[in-house]
Amino acid sequence: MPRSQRNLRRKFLKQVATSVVAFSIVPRHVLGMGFLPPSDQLSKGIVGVGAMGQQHLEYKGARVAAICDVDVKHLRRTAAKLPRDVKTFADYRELIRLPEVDIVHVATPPHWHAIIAADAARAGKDIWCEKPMTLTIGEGKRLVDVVRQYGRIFRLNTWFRFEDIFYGMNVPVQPIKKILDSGMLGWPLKVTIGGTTGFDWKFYWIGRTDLEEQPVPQELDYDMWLGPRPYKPYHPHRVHSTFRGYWDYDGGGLGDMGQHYLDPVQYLLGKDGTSPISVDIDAPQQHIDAAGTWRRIEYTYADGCKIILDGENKETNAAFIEGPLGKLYPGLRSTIPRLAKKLAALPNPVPQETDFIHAVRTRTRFALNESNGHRSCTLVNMAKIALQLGRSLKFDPLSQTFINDDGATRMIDEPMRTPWIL
Amino acid sequence: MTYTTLTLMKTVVLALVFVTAVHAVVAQAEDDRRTGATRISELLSEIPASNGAEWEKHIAVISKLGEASLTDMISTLSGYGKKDNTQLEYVLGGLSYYVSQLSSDQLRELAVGSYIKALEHVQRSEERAFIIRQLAIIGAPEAVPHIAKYCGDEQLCGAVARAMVSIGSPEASAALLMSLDESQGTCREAIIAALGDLQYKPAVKALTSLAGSTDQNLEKIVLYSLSNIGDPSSLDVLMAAARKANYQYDVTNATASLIQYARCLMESGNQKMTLKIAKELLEREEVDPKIAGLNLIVALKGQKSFPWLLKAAESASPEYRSVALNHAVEWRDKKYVKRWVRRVNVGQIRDRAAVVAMLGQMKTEAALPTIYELLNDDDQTIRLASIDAAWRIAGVDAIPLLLKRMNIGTDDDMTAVKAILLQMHFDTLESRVRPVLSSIPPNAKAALIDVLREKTSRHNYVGNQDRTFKPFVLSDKEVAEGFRILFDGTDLDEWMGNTDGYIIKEGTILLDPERGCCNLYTKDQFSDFEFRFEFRLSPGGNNGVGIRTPPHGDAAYVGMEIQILDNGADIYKDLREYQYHGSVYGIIPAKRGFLKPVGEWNYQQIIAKGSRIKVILNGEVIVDGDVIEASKNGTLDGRPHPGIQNTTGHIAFLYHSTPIQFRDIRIKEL
Repeated sequence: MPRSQRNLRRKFLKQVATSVVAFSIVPRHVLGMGFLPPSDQLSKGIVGVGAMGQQHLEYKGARVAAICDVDVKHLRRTAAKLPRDVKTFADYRELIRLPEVDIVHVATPPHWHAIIAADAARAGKDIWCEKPMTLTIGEGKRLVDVVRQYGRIFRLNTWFRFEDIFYGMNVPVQPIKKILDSGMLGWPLKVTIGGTTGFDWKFYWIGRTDLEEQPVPQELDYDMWLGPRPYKPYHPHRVHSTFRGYWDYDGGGLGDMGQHYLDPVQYLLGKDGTSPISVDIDAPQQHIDAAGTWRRIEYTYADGCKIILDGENKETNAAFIEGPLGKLYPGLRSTIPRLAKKLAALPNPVPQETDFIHAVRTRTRFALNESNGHRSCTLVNMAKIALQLGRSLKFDPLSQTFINDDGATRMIDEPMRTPWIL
Repeated sequence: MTYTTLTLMKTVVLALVFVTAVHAVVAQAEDDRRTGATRISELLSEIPASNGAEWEKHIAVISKLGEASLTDMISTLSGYGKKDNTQLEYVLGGLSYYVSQLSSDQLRELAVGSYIKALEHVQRSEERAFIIRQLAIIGAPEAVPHIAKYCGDEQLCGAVARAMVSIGSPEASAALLMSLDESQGTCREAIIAALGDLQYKPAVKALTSLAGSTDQNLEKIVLYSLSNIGDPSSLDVLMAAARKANYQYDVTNATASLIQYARCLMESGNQKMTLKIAKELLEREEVDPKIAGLNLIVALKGQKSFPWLLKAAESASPEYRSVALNHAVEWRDKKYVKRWVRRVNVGQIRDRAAVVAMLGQMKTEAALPTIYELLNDDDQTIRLASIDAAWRIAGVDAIPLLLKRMNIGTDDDMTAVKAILLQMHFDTLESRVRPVLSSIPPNAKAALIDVLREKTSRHNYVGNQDRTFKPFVLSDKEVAEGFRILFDGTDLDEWMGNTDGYIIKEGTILLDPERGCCNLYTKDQFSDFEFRFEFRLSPGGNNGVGIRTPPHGDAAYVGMEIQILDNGADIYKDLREYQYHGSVYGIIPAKRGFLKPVGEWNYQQIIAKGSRIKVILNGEVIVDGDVIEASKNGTLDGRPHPGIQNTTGHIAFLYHSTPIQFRDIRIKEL
């Protein structure tokens, strides 16, 4: 990047961010936000403009300056919706070097997330990354390091820990957090996530084992699409809207929904800085390439808290959260008498930064950032390993390795296909 | 016998034994193969296992196969799309994963041995790649020489290099280095990256000679590997490459590699060189390398890097400043706090508000006097930062000063303090805030009332079920006076008894007499109170409000009943006046004529203080009397009313055979 352009950009940022450590409680408009003319808006570049990337066009607060995709059709289709001056790329490395891009959105399949996000951080960009955060635990560790090393602002694209109705619970997470923090349900807690508590595991994201090689369509740079993952003969079911069914790129419904469902639970249980010490599975044998279904996944934390993923909708009587002193059901129905009244009296949790654009301007850590995002993604990734191996595993949250299982520990890092490195 | 003869004889005997043994082995193997083939086809038909126990049974079958049979089975693999390998892939993948847990075991040896043999039998690269992948999953060092020979094969070298990384033995590294010289193109890239992942020091010399390439991908991988290995001799190469990239991101990732290199050096205890790199980065004009340099210095020198933080806090770049302040939060020693505080006090810092916020996050009492003072600063941003910091450090002890701030502050000050008050428990608010309610100006009062309302009214968390009505909320005045809600339209949490007959409908409590019998009681008991509610009668409707009643019995006698009645209805034309709407049933009669027409909502207040009962209907006092006084000479209905002596009890909606609706129910204890 030419230095002059870069400095210009920096100068602009300097003028915008009046105060760099934001105060969590302060009303937004006070910090000088919201009155900037549109020409001074932040700009974003979106890598991956397939189905997921379309949603990233809509996220407010920054203007789309550039888009990137390895499928020319995606690129053209998206560019047609955008102003003429939006730049298009087939290689993300060109997009992240644009001086006018402040924020890089990573909306590719998961096997690309870590590399693109890390390179964006190295290029001095802030990052808005799709879930699941990374394909492996090792990638997550590395990405956390890089984001920190470069002092970037990172957000993961799930949001239930701070807004929206939390699926089957029919209420947002905040009141649940207040109830748990008050100790009303006692401790340790057991959380059940499955059809009976209103969470769908989307088992239609399963892979096929009978793929016959097909010619790569002209519009797709399949080699780039595969990126760091091993070469496998092309079949349309591997890519685009069905890639979730393959371990090389994701992990079925667990990969798709796991972090949406589990991130708020890590937050609720106060586990943002740690991980379970074991994952137990009950599942049919998995194919080496295609992700399949499972019946039950059970996580246990050092303090005895448990999360049950019920893939069979078997837990018909399960509360969403159960503690020794009470149970909590969807809609905040509870065995605790007069819960609503008690809830109103409880203190609000310390507010978090939940506006990404504001976080970027004030250099504040986002509520769901690289480190708690990595920890909640670790739940997804450790279960994926247990499913593939077909055995339950013990985990050391401190060193983030499996205990007494070399095979599982080898799967923490999957060596990448060159020239891709992290 | 000469020595030679003896040796010869021994050799002959040995040879004979050997031949016999080979015969036996070959025959055994043939046998195994025959039974093996049957077992295998059975196995394949039962795959995939539906659970772990079933899989253990399959494993038992596999472990009884000889190496020859297993090798045969593996060798039937056929390239993707050539035939459906599904069952076979299930078995082999399952086997590899199964034995990957074990470092030594008979089954593991069987699997590894068979894979190695099969590697020679299969014909195509795809099958070989599959087998190499299995050996990587198992992490089999014995496979190293057998897979190393594919290091130069375009189709397989990537898989081999990655497998070597997974295997991770010194032999794996050595084998990669051996093939580096001969390799080219993508194979060379794969081998270089693997040597880096393996952090193989003996490779440094060869890798260094490859640096400086114009092929950006190759250059990237060479720098990556050198940085991972972290040998002191690589400094010049990595530094030069980063300089060439102007310490910015480019495709070679040179700057990132230099930083990674510095971290490796630091881990190996080479402080001097790490510091050298960090300083080089810090001296850059651009922000990104500066930030990385500062982070390195902090990681290296810990709290000794404080002067760097102070300097960074003066930077013109908010990004750089924020990184420094984020580190500073962790260092809570008084001597550091003092220096920040001094800078804030004399205004000798670029962003005072940010430093105040940092001190707040530090939660250090030493900063408190300064922060209290800054609550009155002229600068709005500083005030807001101070409000937050004061609360973080002093907690509820900061409340009096924050409330004072609210009295004289701007709307923004007020919003900030409000946000803090919401972080308190209602009980703390009651004891710390309500007492000052009467003595503060209207603006602040309104804000406080907002907070109290949020802390006392129920949240409407019923989801999407019924959004046609809005839950009832108290008026500002009622919040200030201390009313609380008993029913806001969403739930019967405050009520007990006949919750079958009394149901929630469109935000109201509706008595549907068909559904179930008897009274609905508050869970709490009340002695002196003002009770406010709205009700809607059906034609000829009859009900009553029980007060100070036990949760059973006829409330009119065991407690008291305030009559609710459509006393305009024809059927009630012969009523006695102590039965009129609003009467304390049987004791004090009410004024008639203030009910709204049937179907409209009426608003009623019932005030009970000692023995004095006052009922106000639609703004009109219809009862105001003393129940003891009124029954001094006997009650109006001539029956004993022991309930008038009660000092406390539940409030109840009574049961009659006509429907009735209630809403917006709230109470204040006197």
